[in-house]
Amino acid sequence: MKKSILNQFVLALAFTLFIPGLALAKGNAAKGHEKAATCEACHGKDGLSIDPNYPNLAGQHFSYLVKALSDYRSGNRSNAIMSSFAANLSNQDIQDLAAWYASQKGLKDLSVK
Amino acid sequence: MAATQFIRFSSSLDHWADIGLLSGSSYNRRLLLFTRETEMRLNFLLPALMLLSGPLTAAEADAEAGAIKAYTCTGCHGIPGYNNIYPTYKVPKLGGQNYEYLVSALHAYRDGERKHATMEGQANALSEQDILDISAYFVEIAKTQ
Repeated sequence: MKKSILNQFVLALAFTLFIPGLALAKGNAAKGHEKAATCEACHGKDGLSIDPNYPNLAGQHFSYLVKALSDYRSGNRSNAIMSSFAANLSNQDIQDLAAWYASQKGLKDLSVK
Repeated sequence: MAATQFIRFSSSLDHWADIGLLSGSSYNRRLLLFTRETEMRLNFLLPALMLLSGPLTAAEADAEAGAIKAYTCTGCHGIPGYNNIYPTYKVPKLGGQNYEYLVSALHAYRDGERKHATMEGQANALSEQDILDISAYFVEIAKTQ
């Protein structure tokens, strides 16, 4: 019994150390809009791409957009076009851009029936 | 029943088994009676079937077939909150995504160009036709909502 409480405590501690960086940072959608001029050339002004080979971003999850841009920047995900754009982004830029595209309407939540 | 009659009956069952219209178990029993004659019939049937199915395998996406094939996908790409075992980010929304982009994403996972343990495993289990069908499904499903 005591051991399981201790386990829970350790687990909770691990999560509080691990999650904050992601949970607290939210980004500023209005600032993201200002920074998105380059993105719009392919991903559209409304987050709906001008070419079907590029993904729609409107309404995509904030955390997934952060992950995608971070992966392009680190080289974890490679794409000739995106890698060079992401290379110049700061953490704050990524957060703001993700907040902007997440706030748009487009992609559908399939879990809502 | 005379022995010759039984053999003739078995042989006709063999014929159906050859083209896959009999269940596995009776086909296995018939295997004991697999003769030179049925082998020759197979040699003729298989190329004929391949010729017939040729036009059907030409790449054309079928969103309805994709709806069934995408059942596994929605286990992550359609759960409330879109949270799965990866705690740091949500599973991307696919409903209303572009067809060409979805196809290229699945190809990239399949070919190892894009890294993600779960998605590489899933994409590797898909045929080219599966990839087209599933991609078409995620485009179509958004139109009905």
